[in-house]
Amino acid sequence: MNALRRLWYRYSPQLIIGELLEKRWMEPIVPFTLMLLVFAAFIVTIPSYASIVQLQQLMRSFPEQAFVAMAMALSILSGGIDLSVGAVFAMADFLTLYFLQVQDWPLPLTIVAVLAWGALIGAVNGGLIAYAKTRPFLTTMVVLIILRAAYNKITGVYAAELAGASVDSAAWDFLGAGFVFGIPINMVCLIVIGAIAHLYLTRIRSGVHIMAVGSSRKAARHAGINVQRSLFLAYVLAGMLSALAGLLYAARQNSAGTDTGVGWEVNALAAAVLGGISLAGGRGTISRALMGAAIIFLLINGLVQLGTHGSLTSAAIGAILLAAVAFNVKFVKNKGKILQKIYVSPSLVEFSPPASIERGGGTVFAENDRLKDSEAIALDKIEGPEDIILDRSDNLYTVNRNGSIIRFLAPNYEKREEFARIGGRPLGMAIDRDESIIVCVAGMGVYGVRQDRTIFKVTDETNRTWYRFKDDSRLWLADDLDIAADGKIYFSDATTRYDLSEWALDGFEGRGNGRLVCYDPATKTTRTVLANLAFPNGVCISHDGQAVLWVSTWLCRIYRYWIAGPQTGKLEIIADNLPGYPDNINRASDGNYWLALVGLRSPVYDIAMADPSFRTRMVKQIPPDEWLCPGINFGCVVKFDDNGEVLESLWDPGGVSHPTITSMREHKGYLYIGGLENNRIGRVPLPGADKSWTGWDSYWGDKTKKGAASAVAHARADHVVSA
Amino acid sequence: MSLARDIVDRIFFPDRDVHAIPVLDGGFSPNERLERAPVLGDTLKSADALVFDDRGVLYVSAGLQILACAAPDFSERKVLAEFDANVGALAWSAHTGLLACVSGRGVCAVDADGAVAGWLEQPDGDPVRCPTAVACAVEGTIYLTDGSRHNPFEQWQADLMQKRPPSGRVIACGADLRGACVLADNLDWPAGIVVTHDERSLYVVESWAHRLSKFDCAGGKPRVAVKNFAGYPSRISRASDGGYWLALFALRTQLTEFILREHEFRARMMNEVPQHLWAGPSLGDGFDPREPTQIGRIKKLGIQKPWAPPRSYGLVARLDALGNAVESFHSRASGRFHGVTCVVERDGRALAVSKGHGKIAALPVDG
Repeated sequence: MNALRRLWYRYSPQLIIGELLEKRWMEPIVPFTLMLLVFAAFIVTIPSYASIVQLQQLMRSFPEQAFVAMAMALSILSGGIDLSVGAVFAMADFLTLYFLQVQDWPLPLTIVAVLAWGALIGAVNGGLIAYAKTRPFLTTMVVLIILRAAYNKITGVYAAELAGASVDSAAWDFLGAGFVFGIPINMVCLIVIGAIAHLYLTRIRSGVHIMAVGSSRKAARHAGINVQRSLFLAYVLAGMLSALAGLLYAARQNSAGTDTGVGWEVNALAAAVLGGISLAGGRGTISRALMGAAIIFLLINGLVQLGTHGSLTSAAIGAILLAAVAFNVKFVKNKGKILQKIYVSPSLVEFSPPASIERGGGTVFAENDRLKDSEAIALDKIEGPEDIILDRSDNLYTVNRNGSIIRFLAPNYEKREEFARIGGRPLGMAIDRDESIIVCVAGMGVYGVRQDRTIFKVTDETNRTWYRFKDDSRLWLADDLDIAADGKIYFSDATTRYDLSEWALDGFEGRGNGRLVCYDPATKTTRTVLANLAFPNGVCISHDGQAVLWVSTWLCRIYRYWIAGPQTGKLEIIADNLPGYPDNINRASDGNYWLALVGLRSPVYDIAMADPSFRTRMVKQIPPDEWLCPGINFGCVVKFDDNGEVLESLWDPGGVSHPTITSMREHKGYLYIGGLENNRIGRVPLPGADKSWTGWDSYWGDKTKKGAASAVAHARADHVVSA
Repeated sequence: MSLARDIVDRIFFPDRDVHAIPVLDGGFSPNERLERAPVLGDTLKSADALVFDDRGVLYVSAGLQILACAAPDFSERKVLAEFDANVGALAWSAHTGLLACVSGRGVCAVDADGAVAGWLEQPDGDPVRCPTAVACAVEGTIYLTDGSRHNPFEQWQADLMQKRPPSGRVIACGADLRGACVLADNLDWPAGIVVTHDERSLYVVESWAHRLSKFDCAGGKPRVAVKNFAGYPSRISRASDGGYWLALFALRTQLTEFILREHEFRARMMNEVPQHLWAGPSLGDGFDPREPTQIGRIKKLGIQKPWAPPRSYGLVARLDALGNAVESFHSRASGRFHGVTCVVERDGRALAVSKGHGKIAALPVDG
């Protein structure tokens, strides 16, 4: 039963829904569903509705309306409206027939002429609206009325002539009734032009400008966009699309009746709105207009096939549109809120009681006063030294919360200078063979700073997880790193679902949202080594260079991942159920490792971790400041060996000088202590430690690699990567 | 919709408790006055209640003992009496002398030498196991609150978290501790009682219902004077200006209120976690690094923010005759004067006792 619960919380459908809702392409989900529903409803009610012939018939009739809807959508996206689309369409229909049949023009010339006609009317509209600053609604309505009147007059005059004429052209027939791979030719046109239009509006500069002008004319102008030209262009394109629709209509119907195109502008407008294109402009896509058009087309067509009375058809369509639009407006407006409500999706994490930390309790974790009298370095001169590192000349480097790396100069660390300003939130650091500082920057990736203070990017992306909706190729929260002897940089990307400021939410999830990533300088590629890790944090290459030690903060575990030697690729837990939340790991001079416990486990929080629904409700019902969280005000530093055995601990009782201990670094007989939210760096002497030992020498010095510690240690448990 | 419900509630159920925690505002605006108030004498572990006798001697209950402290700064303390169980509330009456509430047992009269002169243990045959406060009328009648039938008063956290049906009582008896009768029953942890200045009615504080109610001395239906305090009100005493002093021993927090709605989680917490590590209010005593933390309580740049959600808090309010807060004295989340359980006023200063930090401080009394 519990296994089932664990599984449910681990692969919660909430996760998928949450990440889906984040996607921009989920916005038209309502019109899309409605389209499918309408289609399905007619398949059920109308016999052989889904037969090939019937589908071909539907596809044959649809494109003209779709083009007109597209034209309408384009004008709406530009922030205006084009009511003349129906009339332009009708006139184009007539002109096509007139040029071909009365004037006997060749087909290509006719096509060019008709498209030019559409562009001309578009230019009139656009010229008036963009340059003469007239109102789009009134302008295009006037054009509509004039064109309509002209159309009625002219078709009346040429009715007899057109009725008698005919064209003997294979191309013309093909345009009217041809198929490409079983798809009607006009549908093929629609698909091709629709795709082009979509790319145009999203990828091509002038198309993007139209969208920008629609979103905010003022902002577009301030951004240096030629607003008038963009508007003008939008109406010209709208006119051409309508004309194209008229051309195809003429080819298919070969007639110009009095009611051709009557009311099409209203249908087009309804399609755009139904597709969820904002009448305020700038929000929407071509595909949404097509969806809206398809719904309306299918409804009209289906109801007519069912033999519904005309007025009833209109009423039914009106009612459905009203309901759909109302629902869609609510959905689009509240999508963010839904996402907010379901995004956090806690998993089940079950702990057993940890080792005692009671003072005098006899365990290695027993509270003591060894950090109580630490010497404060850089007191109030540093904000949030998450990690510290010392170079070969004893200078101390640390990270600051404003995105810079600060250097305090040896020997007394009184002089402070900004070594480099990277941005983001720099976290874990390491020094490479060339004595450059390599640093993980939350929100940016992994960066480096050479000794001449030039900043370079190491990497900012890794391979994307193919089965996730969320694009996790960018590094989200690079946390700590270490460099192997061959120069490969192993680093942790703590979570791909939250930013650093929302670390507590990731803690509530306790799920494997993070990963261990490796950058290979030889090939300049970055690959995810281990995925689905629960907040991987500290990373350290073992003394013998054969394994990466890393910790999972939320699961309170230390793992070892072999990168060399006979066990390469093996992952094992070497310490489990720590009494606190582990953070950075660094090498100690005696062949062991230092580990910062950033916070202590609280029994109440452990219970909360075993109750995902409690955490969900907590996140929903009370404000963030009131959430229960891991107690990171009080922590300690511990030392462990290659077998994961904890050897000793160093405490600052009550976290007076050192709350949120996130790292420590041994250097020449001293231990330096950093804290994510602290205002100082602490320093305590380590009695008995090697006074000449430095981190750099341990990694790159001459005396490294003499098979320091035990070569092979046995695994303590089967590898379980995430909760 | 909720507005309509609020209006209906206001009209038809004027005494019903409202559940949104009010912000500290108006008379309750935060300050540092309690934090900065001068502390009298040394720390006194788990000091609980204070009372003056008519000669100006201050009696303090602390743990098993009652201490007598002499003016002017009450740092000379001598043990007056010692009991087998914790001593809580104290009161002084010209007729009976010093009255002390003893956990699990009842109320007793203590004479000038510290000897017990008499007990009130079982009014109506129902033992007073949780005597939380006692007050005396000028004519000698003794009024007493019994917090709960289920827990002694040291177990207040458990009583809050168990959320049983209210079972507290107000009991009245004569100056000789006889003739006891129950004035009111089924109160939600009544923890403070005072006879009003006109000697005709009583103000009774219910901690878990966060309210102050007015009872007639003869009994009868109460009237809620103040509802929905931002904290858990505790003992109440008279102020010289015709108002009252109210000690609030902790603040309500959204987390506590949330956990009080989470029955399963609370049951598990009570079962598995030692009481001093529970999520919920505390008096501020016995720090343990494993106690639950809230996001807002994480130290930033080494500083605990005073506006952090408080696990413990120090708050004293001066109320007017109708119960409205006129002014208040705070020791905020980062402070060191938390869990105030009692305030008494005499000779132009009010003494407040912090049970959490074991301190007594003198507050200024301005007209």
